[in-house]
Amino acid sequence: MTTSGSEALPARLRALLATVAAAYAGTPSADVVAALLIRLDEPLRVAIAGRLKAGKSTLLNALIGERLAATDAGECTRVIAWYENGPAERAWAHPRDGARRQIRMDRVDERTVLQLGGLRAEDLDRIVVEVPSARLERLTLIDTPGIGSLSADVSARTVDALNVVDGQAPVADAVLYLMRHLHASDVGFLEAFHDHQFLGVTPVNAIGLLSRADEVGGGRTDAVEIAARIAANYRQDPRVRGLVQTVLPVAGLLAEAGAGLRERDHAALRALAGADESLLLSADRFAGDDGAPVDAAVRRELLAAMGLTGVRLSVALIRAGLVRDAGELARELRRRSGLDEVRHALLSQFADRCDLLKAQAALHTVERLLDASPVPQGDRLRAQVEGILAGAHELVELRLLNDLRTGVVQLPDPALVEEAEVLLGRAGSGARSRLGLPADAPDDAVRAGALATLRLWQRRGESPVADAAVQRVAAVLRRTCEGLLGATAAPVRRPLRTLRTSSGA
Amino acid sequence: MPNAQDAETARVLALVDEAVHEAQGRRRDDLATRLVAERRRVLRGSCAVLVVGEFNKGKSSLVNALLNARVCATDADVATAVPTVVRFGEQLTVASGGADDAARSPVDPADTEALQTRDDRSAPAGAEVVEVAVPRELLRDGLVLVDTPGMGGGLASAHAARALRALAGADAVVFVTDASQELTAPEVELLRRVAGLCRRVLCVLTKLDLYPEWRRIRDLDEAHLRTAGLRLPVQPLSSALRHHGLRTGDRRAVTDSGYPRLAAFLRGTVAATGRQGLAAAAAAAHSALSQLVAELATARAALTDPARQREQLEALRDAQHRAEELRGGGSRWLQLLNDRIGDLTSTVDFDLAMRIRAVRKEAFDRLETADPRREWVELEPWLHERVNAALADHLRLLRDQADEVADEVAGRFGEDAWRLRAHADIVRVTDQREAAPDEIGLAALAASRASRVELGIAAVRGGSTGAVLSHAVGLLVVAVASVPLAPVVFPTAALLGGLFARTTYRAARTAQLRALRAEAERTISLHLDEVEMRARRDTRDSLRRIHQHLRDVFAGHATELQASVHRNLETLAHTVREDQQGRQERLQRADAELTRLRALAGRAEALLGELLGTGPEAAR
Repeated sequence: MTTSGSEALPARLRALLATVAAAYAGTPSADVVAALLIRLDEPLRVAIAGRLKAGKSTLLNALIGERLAATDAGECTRVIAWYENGPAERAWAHPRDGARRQIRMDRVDERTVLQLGGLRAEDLDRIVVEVPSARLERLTLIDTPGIGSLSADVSARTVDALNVVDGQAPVADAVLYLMRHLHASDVGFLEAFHDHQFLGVTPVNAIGLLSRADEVGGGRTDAVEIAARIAANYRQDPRVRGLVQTVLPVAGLLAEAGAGLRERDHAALRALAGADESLLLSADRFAGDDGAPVDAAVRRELLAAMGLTGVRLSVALIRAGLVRDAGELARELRRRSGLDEVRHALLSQFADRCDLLKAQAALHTVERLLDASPVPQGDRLRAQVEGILAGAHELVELRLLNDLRTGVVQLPDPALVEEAEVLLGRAGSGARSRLGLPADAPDDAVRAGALATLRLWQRRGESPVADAAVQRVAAVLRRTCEGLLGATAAPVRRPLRTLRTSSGA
Repeated sequence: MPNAQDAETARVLALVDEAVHEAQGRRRDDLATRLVAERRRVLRGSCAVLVVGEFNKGKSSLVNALLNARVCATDADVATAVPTVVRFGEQLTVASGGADDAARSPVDPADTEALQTRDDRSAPAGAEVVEVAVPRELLRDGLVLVDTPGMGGGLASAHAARALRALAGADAVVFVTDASQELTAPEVELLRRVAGLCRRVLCVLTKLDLYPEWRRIRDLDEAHLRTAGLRLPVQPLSSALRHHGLRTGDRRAVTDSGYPRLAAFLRGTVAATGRQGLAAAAAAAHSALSQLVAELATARAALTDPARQREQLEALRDAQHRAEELRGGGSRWLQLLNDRIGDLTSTVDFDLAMRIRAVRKEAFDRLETADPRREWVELEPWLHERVNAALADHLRLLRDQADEVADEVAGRFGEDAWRLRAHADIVRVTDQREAAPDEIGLAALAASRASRVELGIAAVRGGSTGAVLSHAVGLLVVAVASVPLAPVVFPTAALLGGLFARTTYRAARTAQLRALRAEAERTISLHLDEVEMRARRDTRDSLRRIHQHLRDVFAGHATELQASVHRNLETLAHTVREDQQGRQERLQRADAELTRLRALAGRAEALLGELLGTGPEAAR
């Protein structure tokens, strides 16, 4: 929060919500407003969305670093599951009507098994799993049931639990869309980035993930590199730009395998590296019983944990001498999984902007609420909402970023769009990432950069050929730059001005 | 199976050769020419197998692994964008160009992959087809494999229309899915249409090497297919195992790869289509020989019984008259053909209009009731799906009805030709005792069918209309490459996000929303108009070709019959003028020749019966 007015926004928002709460006191919507206030202090909620078999649960496990999510098609994968930081490992079932109820949570073979008891999956609103985890302190992860394929169940799409019902807060603040490798002309291609469940989602708070990256191209050992290339192509697609802020490749199974790799797994893989190449030819052969150096049960375990592609990659790494022990192999698998980039994107682009995203969501919810259940003070409240939306520069930035991505605002040059988006904080809201400077750049460089950028946009905005779009973008960005300058310690600026005035005198 | 097939082919070819020899000996060059053409068709017979499926399921890898040659570009990143036709050649050659055979020019094999994978959105109209010839035994008997661009989303894909058109003429289809997940609903729907348009379908499950759970996926897939009413086996495949097996001589790997089964399916397809071609050739030989026998029998009858010459002449003149009628513009079969094609034109026009109208109505209803925020994103794929389903059904109607027309016309022609033959065959007319059934042949068959068989148009159904719709690979590719329907772009899609980002659906249900809806309606209407126009043009074009083809085929037969009658008349007149001495000599010669020809015709009949008796397609 480096721009001006950042202190004011949360305070103004809380004041507004208090007024709204007073206006709705005693009405059925009172709970909604109360929930909005509570929500401001909670971690960011990130939903993981995607079709069946897109690898959602695997990614979730990899992000948490534990096998918490059920990965096979049991009852539980049909219910929305929340994973929160909590004081102890426990799980709750929230029926659609009625109070939440604690349910049994067991660890069996390093997997988590939830017992619904007498409850039926279709009667549940959600399951909440609490675990003490540093990784969940700033994020709450929401696992959604996979949606079947197009046209098969358009009517059956009743999974509305995460939907924005008019007048209610959106459940998720941000969304990760998982998709498998599809051709850009595929019907399912855009669909993957666009889920009915998340209507409050804009390109600013959504990221696309090319999942199961290790299986691209038939599971070659360079699959992950190819996946990176494909993701880069997706990012260039203007249709994708309008839906998500970026597309990253991720191989959830590799990450999970890396996280759970034990020394004896490494030893087994090392032994297998010396075996005949034909053993790795197919899953059947690998799991088969004939004379391989490692016990068949261990091989089957490896296959289940990392997939044939993971085994192939590990063996290739060991053979090439790139990894020497279990630790190095785990790191290498994790590095290649792309999980670190996903986590970085989550923390830098969602968690950092968390307050802002929540503020925006809260304001829009209030707007909807005012429309859906009018109250006498409605017009005054609406004006206040408008005031905050228009006044808080961060929200103005967010909106402009959104408009640039969706093409509502069109600049003449793609390079200009790129520049504007970065300056608006697409890649991170810190001054250095906005100005495209290295993370360790000194303050002087930041100031100089901000000043140069300010002048550049001033010139662009005042240019006689500038159209309305350029003028709007330039006006917002000038204020952004001023904010950046203001945030870095000011003393240098005044002497400069003094110097200039004195020399002019 | 292939050996039996080869032996059959050899027998038919030998028979045709002998018949050509006889025809030339009796200076019936018209018959000889037709037989030579028939012979060429047997040798050059082609059997088109389409490889279809969604993007990235391993279609190109399948073709490569099957042939153990890198003929199709396979890359994890870029997809096949241009259909690749793979056929036999003594050495590797590559050609590319238009859909038309003649419009293709050779290219350097090194450039093949760039041609196959060109991005169809960025590149302008370049090569529509890449044709690769490779020296592979599997292809030697005329098998032609067509690797198609992936249909993402099944029928909802904008590409689906052209692929479905190609399907109507394919001899078999290999539907490709992979073991990473079970069949999706769009895949099943696509398979259902495929099975409706093509009789031989094999569903293969690729990448079995990569997924330990492939058996479970296969069972699930088979269950899905059963639920959809499709009795199709699912054949698991692994190209990695196949390549490994071939490289190292590991026979277990080759067996496990599943490819031998795929090859068996393809050979079976070649055999089945080849059998159809053989039956047609045998029927042509039989027909020609019967005509020669009739001619000789006429001459012999004139020699043995000159007293009845007047009677015979009259019969033949009558036959000549009938033959002229059969060939002329007023013939019954031609009238029937013209009438039926006329009827069919209006039937299919109406059918198309109704189908498009239904789609339009459904689309407008959807627009009216749908929440733009939720459902408009899906309108485009939905529209493609509906349009493609409608066009597939329309195409099927066209094909079935065209088959019926061909059947009917053949029946009518057969009746008249039968009567004509009865008249021309003066042996039969004048002397019932000598009316040996073997000269007419296949007496056991129903009259109309027998006549058709005798005329060498046994396989008229599927043989002629199918051929016209796309049986020949040249035509097939025309179908693959045409119908690039313009994608629908709703002008509103991008705006919706911005429009509804800050307001509710209810608040936006205003003039702005009405304007958007009107705009979307207009877009849909324009698209459907375009679809209807192109589909109508295509359908009419197909009908025109079917019409012309049937007319040519039957007019050809009529000409041949007329020539036969004319020859008989000549023979008769010639015989009458000869003296007693020469007559006796000629009678002996004719008897000897007749015995030989009858034996030959008997062989042709036996062979034909064999081919038709066991060939399910040809016997229909």
